Amino acid sequence: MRTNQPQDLRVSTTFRRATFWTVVLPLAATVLIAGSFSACHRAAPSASTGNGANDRPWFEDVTARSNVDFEHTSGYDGHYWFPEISTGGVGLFDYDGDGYLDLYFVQGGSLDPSPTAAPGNKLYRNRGDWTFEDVTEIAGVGDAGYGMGCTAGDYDEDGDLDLYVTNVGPNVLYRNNGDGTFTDVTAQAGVGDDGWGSSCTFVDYDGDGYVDLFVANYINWSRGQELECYSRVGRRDYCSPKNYNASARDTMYRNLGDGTFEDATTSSHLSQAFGNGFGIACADYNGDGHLDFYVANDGTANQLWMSDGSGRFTEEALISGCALNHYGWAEAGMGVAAVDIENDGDFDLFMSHLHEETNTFYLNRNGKFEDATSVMGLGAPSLGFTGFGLGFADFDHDGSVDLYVANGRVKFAERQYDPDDPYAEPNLLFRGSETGQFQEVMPRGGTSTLLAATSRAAAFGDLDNDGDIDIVVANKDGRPHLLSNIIDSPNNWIMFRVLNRRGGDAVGATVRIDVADRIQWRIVQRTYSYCASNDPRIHYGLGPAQQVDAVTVRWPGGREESFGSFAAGQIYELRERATQ
Amino acid sequence: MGVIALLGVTVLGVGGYLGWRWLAAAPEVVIPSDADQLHPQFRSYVSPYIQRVREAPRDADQHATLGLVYEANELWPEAQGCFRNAVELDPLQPLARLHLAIATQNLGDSAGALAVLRGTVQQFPGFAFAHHRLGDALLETGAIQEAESAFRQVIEFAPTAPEGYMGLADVKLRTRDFARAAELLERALELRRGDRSASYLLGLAYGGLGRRADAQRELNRGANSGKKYMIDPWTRELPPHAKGVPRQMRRALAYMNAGRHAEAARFFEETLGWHPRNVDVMNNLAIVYMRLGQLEKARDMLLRAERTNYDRYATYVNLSTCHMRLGEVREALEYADRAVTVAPKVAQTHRIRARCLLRFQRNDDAVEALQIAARLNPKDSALHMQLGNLCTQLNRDTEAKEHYRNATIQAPSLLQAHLSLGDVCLRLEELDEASTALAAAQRLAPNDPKVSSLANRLSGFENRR
Repeated sequence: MRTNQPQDLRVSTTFRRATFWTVVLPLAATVLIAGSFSACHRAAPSASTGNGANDRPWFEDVTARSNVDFEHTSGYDGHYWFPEISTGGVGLFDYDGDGYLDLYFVQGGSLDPSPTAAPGNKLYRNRGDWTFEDVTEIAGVGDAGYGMGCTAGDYDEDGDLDLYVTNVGPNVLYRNNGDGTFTDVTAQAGVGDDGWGSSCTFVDYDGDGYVDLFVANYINWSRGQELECYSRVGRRDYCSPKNYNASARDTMYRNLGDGTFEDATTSSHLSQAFGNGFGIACADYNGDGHLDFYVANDGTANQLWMSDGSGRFTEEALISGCALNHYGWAEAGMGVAAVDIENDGDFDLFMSHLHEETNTFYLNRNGKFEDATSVMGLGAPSLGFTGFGLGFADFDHDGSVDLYVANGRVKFAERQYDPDDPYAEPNLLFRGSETGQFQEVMPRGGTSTLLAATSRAAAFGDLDNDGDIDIVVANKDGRPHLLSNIIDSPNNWIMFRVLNRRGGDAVGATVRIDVADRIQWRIVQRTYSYCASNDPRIHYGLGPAQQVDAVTVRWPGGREESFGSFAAGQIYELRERATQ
Repeated sequence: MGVIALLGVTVLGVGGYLGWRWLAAAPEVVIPSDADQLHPQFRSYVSPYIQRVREAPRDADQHATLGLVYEANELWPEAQGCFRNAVELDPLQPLARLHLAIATQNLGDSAGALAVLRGTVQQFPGFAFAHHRLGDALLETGAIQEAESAFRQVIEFAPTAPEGYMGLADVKLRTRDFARAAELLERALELRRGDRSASYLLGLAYGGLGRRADAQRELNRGANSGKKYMIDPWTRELPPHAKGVPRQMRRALAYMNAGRHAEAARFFEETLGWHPRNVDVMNNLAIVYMRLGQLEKARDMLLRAERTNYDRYATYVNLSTCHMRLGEVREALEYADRAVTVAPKVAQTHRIRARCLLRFQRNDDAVEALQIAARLNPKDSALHMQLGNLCTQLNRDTEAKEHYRNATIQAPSLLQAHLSLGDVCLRLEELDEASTALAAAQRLAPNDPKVSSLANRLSGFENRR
């Protein structure tokens, strides 16, 4: 008998006596079966569960030949400061208006308060041929705060994209001067939130025509609050946000239209809830014409801020079914995206989570969300990974969106993919289908060589304007991965840049296309994933179709506008017409 | 003759099988490949279990026990190896198979875990624990019909366990049969009153049925419950095997919360022996010493914590408390100031400072400190109540009203908040709000004498007018 057995073990002993008569004797005559059964469980389990349906890589890592020399550092010095485990943001935005997405990497740096030559963020100009030029110094955007994320938007309506950077500490707003340089206008604009910012987005939440600024805040943390945490077997490790019990409020800055913002956190009612905010997905979730915000919180209930159209929000995640997972558990929300997977015109939610939690897909049913993770095939494959950045795009142009998830642990684990980085994990690529189900693509992550890193942000966009979606992954304590889409697909595509009346990207507008007998919906959004700013252009795979029969845009506010048919294989602009 | 021959063949077969197994090499003892990197406390704990396997390598139970030690500490590859050995040595022990599946699942091999579970229920059809795990694993893969069958087996073989009903209800939720899901979950709650997981699922079912108020109530009840498995006998054995600091801290804190301070102190002291630089353990140990009245011992422990890490606010908060209890108010305030300096955004530091300031009769400064704390943590109804009470004492009724009102917003079921709000409104002659507060209090506790007292005073006031 086993030692130190409690009385409860009698249950199993009794069970064994019972099974002896019902199982053992009948089996005695078939000993060979028993022997083979025993043997079959000696087989080592396989770690990968992909279907292997496609064995050609979808992406090529072109970092080495791109001239991008950015190397992220978390500043790890043996103290296990909490911010070190989640830093690593990236933004794609065309800062110089040449039509190509440029790269902005957000650096961690150092949490040591003593003055050091902290490495800063970096901006790389896209030359259009998968090579880039470091223009950080000229542009003046090398903020050396302890960085998390960024977003781009034209807050001053001068026709170029400005840049907002979130930090562990004061955030920074860079105004684009239109000549390749930026000016730090944080103080005069009044947006230097000194909390621990993460994802952020420029969106006109009150419909006054000016883009406002929503900043997710992670936790009220300072070095003085740091704790000592350990792995289950006693190794020193990073803490969980739950250890600190110091959830934060998110911040809403209302654009006053004169280059300044006011803190509207209280007047918008955002001050009424706390969480550990990491990801933001902005869309009209109940179809009332007003833009709502969903915030993925790490270990606390997610928030669904439903807009009443007057600049005030009500938090309705719990009753809407997307605060907690299907079992009522507040999962470790990292990245999040709004996507219409059923092409029914309402926006569903997908978010990435911690190891041992599945990533979660919430289907939107008339404003109520249902956890459909497992039926979509996204549950089991994600259980072994900690997901951060993520994005849906039709990478192979077959008419169904696919999914890419960037992974990297936050806790030390025994199985290691990289002996030099105990937190490294491979990323996952899933192929979508018309039925809404996903299957993992092999080779894992879609690259010919397995890329294992502690990935954080992932940003999505067409970096070479060839009509397919590429990916940039920011890796903690490592170099990024620039993944060029190399699928040799016979299918067609189409892209739109959707502009409002003032010529800015119409963030929050939804676009429906009719192709043959199919409909596809997309939303114009820069902010999804994790601490990332993405290509706001909307992209569709068309399968074999040669043209789009009709395009309908639902502008923020609810007004719809129809556009004509468009031939496939081009990038178009859709501009909002003045109301009659 | 035929029967005798068959019996003979069977006996020969069994004998041959047992002989073959005896002659076969014993499975190797599973030792972590990076044992030297594991914490000494864990190494020390696991060593005798490894030794027992070495001494009895064909004893399935010893392999299984070692597997449980690894499982409790989330060393999943090692746990999987041990349970695989246990299954090989004793194929008729279903619990070893169940835990082999658990380890396999935790290694991310869902298909492997499913295969083990399917094999287990095939061989042990009455083993409800495996049916339940199988149902859950099938749900994760989207095999809803097969999952339904598994949960029906759970209900058949463990009819008094709510988990089968909850699993089946989960299936019904996923197929949008909300009415049937609600029935099953109501049954589950009959079997285990107050089960929060069942409440959450019931909230989803009511939501699907459009019963918004019922849904809100059940979702609130079930929030943060999480997925629960049927607890099998071996899983019950896991907690004492968990040797990581978090688990040990939880156990010690449980003793503390139960008022068993001496046992908590022993636990923390043992943990500190293994983790001599862990400031959290030192702080908790100091708190226990304070509760045991051993104030000087507590102070010494906190000073050790300060020497170990000089910028931890919790140490200064506790030092302030300790000195306050020692009657050393000046030192208490100094440590409170230090706590604020180290963690100015933590409400607790301002709160402890306010407490010191009050001892110095610096009431206005105390109010200011508490107001900072309330701004930093506006959800804390107790803080609003404290501020309200203090402002009341200082005859700052208008401010007191605001704080009591905030307390009622943050804790709508806090009777005293409504009563205090009613009182202060009466003093301010704001009868409408006093009536509102009274109505809220009457809803919460219609027969409470304090509620009646407020009602009488309000009535008297109205009559006088």
